[in-house]
Order: sequence, then structure tokens, then C-alpha cells
Amino acid sequence: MGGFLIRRLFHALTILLGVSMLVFLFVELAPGDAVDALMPPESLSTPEAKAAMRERLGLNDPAPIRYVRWLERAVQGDMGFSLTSRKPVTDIIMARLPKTLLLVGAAMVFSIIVGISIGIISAIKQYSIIDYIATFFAFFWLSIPGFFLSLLVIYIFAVRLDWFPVFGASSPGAAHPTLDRLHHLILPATVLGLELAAALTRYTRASLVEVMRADYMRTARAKGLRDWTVIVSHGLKNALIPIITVIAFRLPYLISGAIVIETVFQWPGLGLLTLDAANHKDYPLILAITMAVTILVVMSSFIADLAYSLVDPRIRLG
Amino acid sequence: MSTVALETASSEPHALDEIRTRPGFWSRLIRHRAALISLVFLVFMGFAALLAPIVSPYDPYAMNLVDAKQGPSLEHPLGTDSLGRDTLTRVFVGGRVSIAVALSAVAISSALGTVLGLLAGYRRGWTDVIIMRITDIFMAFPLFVLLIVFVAMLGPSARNVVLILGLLQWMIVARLVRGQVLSVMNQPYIEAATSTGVKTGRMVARHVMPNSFVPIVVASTLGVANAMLSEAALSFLGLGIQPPTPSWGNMLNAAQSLQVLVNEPWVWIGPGLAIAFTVLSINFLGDGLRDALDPHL
Repeated sequence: MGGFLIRRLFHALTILLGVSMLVFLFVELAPGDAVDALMPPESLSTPEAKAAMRERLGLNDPAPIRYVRWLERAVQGDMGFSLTSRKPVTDIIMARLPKTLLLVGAAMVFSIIVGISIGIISAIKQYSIIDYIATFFAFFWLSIPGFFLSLLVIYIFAVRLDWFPVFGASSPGAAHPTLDRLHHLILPATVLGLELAAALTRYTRASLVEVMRADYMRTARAKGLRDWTVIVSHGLKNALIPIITVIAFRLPYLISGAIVIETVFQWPGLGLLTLDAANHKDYPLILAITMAVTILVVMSSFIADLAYSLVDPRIRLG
Repeated sequence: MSTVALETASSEPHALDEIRTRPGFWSRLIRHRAALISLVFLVFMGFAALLAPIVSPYDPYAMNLVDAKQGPSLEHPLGTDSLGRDTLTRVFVGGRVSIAVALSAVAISSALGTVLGLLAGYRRGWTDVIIMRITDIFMAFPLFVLLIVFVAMLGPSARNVVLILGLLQWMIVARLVRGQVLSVMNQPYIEAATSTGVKTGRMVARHVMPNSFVPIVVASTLGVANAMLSEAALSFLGLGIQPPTPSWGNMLNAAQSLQVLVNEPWVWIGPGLAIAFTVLSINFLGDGLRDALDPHL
């Protein structure tokens, strides 16, 4: 276990370093720098003033030195200040993170419940009508762009039927803030979760079909256990490994999807923030968001690894 | 479909018989009904996109404020947008842009992935470790975040979208090719070829590439679907193809205004369905190609 943790930590660190270098390099290559952003061209700043500011901010040092300097501060949790709002980048991200986590978490719960149940039904009733319909829809949800689906559900369920709010994460002055948040959450979380649900349906079905042929399944049936018990506690348990892999593997897609869906639904999370930061070329904020997202992804793949050993005691982390 | 598979599996013919009776590529692809329908649809979309400016009586760019915001009618099957341009014509012209961007991006990423995969599989050692670690990093990361950041910094244009999509999507091909190289290198005929002094370049061309062909084709097909979705999302956010050039994504951008979303649904439903069905078809086709090209899977 100790060896595993150390190797895992090393792996995570290389990913974090790799991503930070990549983004830093790109910020380097991009036209314009912080001084241009801090001193807009229409202001009265002279070239001399700009040069002095560059010198003061240390922008004239070679890129590798600036990278190490940035890294030193980042490790201590200081990611610099946003160029547009002048607030500490860490504060801005921390204010937005919970909303994105809520959205992604809700989408995940939805997709796990729906995806796995439909996958089970498909596997039990292989080649039935239900199976074909489920397969078609799985392909369909994997193909339909998230933003188009968002527009469709907004049009149908928020505008025409008026069941849900059109956008935002809360309405001001709502009587029950929690209920109000849930009300706002349902549409975006469902849309975001559908793709993962579709992927889970396919993998649950494939994995379960494989497991169903195993000898121990026949034994379990022969013992006279009820069908449902056999499928859930003998079948599903053994089919879980690939399902966990899919969830962990798909998480980056979920976060990518959240960016677009947050924009359509005006959900004030990290996704909207990313778009704003990119549009304003707010480099410190961009760097910090990419790092935050990377940490999120690295952490969840670590959790997936732990989950493997929980599900299957034969897998020893060592 | 399932009964055919069962019969061949249960009758267990002689090896020779099997080779003779095993249906060819086309008949296997045709038997995959979803893939066949998808192929027909894609060919139709391709022709429509190519011929749209010739066939359609409308100019996809010319404003015509008199006819603006019309609902679907016989003259305008998908209505007109707020500038009076025919939506159906723009859907087909937009398809041309979206398809071209996706194909070019995949051409870059597949070439890059093939080269990196060959290098990793052939050189082994540190080259392999480094390339595969970079692949891991790219695969673990929500690429859309990078996509947005890079496009925003380089400036949104079709060329930049193609470049960045191409540079961010090579991982699956690289992994597949590397795997193929490793498995081919263990074959006795490679040993035979090496012992007769065949040069590396020729070895790759004659033995490794033909074996990697099928997985590359399948992965590239699915890659086109991904690239198309990414381009659409970028353009939808205003970071991809810039108006007035229509692309399926930026035509949906109009629907970010509640006015268009509610009152002119035909403007955004058409291009949205075009993306959805095209991507769906590509996915089905990729699935069918896998079945048809590779009987082992």
C-alpha cells in the first residue's frame, strides 16, 4: 500500500508538472503579456513606463526562471492575481468550485443510477426490443452535442412547459434556497449526465453479459437463489471493475461537458469562469483553472484505483 | 444478424472452408444495417454540402431583411434567420465547413499519432516511456479546457481550430499503433525479415503499417466524430469558425439569445439535428467498420 501511494503520488506530480509546463509554454507563445493587459494601449502609458513595469514584474527574466518562480508560489497556494478583477486567483476559483462540483456530482449520480440500471436490463434481456432501444439511445446520447441538447431541453421543459427555470443557479429571494437550487440543478445535471449514462449503459451491458456466462453464476442459480440476487450480488459485483474504469476514464469528458453546459445554462461555475478568463486573456486565472481541473482529475483517478481494491480484493495495491 | 453469427460459430467448418465462406468486407459492412444506413446518410450529406451553393437558389451570405425571421415554408424549408438568410442553404454550406475542419484535424492527429506510436513501439526504452507518459497526461486531461484556452490565445479561426484539434487528439491512435508494433515485432516473420537484413524503413512499410491499418482507420473514423463535436462546441461558444462563414456550431450560437431560442426555433434546430445525425452516423459507421474489417473483435 505504501509503495502504491508513493508511486501514485509520483505519477500525479508528473501529470501536474506536465500540464503546468504545457500551459505555461502556451501562455509564453501567446501574443501580448500581462503588462498589455494591466496597461491598456489607450491609457497614457509610455513605452518607458511599460518597460519599467516589465522589469519590476520580472517579465524580462528567461521563461524557465519565471516558470520556477511561478511554481514556487503555486506550491504555497499563491497563484497570483486575476488581471481583470485584481482579486487573488485562488479565492475566485474557490468561490466557483463548489457550484461545478455540485453540477458534476449530480450528473455523476444521475448517470450511475440510470446508466447501470438500463445496462443491467439490456444485459438480462439481450437482443430484446428494450435492448435495441437502449443501444440506439446510448449511441444517440453519445453523438448529440451537449449544447444542442441543452438548448432543446431549455426550449421544451423551461420555455414551453415552464417546469424549470431557464437559466442560473438560484432565484433571488426564493423561499426554500435548497429546493430552489435543486430546481435549477435538474436540467443541466441531467443533460450533463446523459453522455456518461450512455457510456455506462454500454459497458455495464458488455461486462455483465460476459460475467453471466461464468460458472459461478450457474452455481448461484443452481443453489436456488433468486434471479435478482444472482444478478446483483454475484453478477454486478464482478462486472463492476470495467464500470469503475469507465467512470474514471470519462471524468475529463464530464468536466469538458460542464464548461459548455454551464455556459448555456449560465451556471456560475468553473466552466463559465474558464470561458471568461480565456476571452479576457487572463493568464494567471487560466493557469490556475487548468491546475485546479488537473488536480480534480488526478484525485478522482486515485479514488478509482482505491475503489478497484475495495471491489475486488484480488487487486492488491502494492 | 445474431443467427448468422451463431451458425458459423456452431458448425465449426474446416479452416479452408471458413476462409472460402467468410463473407468479404463489403458484405459484412452491408449486413451491419445501422452502418449501411449511416453510410448512405453521410454520402448524402457530403454531396449536399458540396453541391449546396449550386443547387440552392439562395446565397448563404446575402442579407435580405424583408424575408427575415420567417418560419418554415415551401420556399424556405427551414425558415430564415434574423438577417433573412435561408437556413437550409446555410446548414449545407455550414456542413461543408464543419466536415472539412473535422477531416483536416483528424488527418493531422492520425499522422501525428502514427508517427509517435511507431517511434514508441520501435525505439522502446526511454523514447517509449516519455511518449507514453505524455500520452497519459493528455488522456487524463479535460482537453476541452485546453482547447478553449489555446484557441482564445491564438485567436479563433478555422486554421487554428484545425491545428489545435489535430495536436490534441492523437493519443488513441498513438496507443493503438504502439500496441500493434509491439505485437507485430514478436512475430516469427519479423525475426525472419530481420535475419535477412531488411532495413527499418522497409520493415515498417511492409509489415508494421499493414497490420496497424485497421485500428487506425477505425480510430480515425471515431476521431472525426469527436473533432466535429469539439469544433461545434467551440464555434457555439464563439471561439471557433467566425461568422459570417456558417458552421453547424456557430449557427447554434444565435440560440444563446432567448429571443431566437423561443421565437425562431427553426434557426437552431436544423443545424443541431445536422450535427447530431452526422456524428451518430459516423459513430455507427466506425462501429460497423470495426466489425467488417476486423473479424477478431
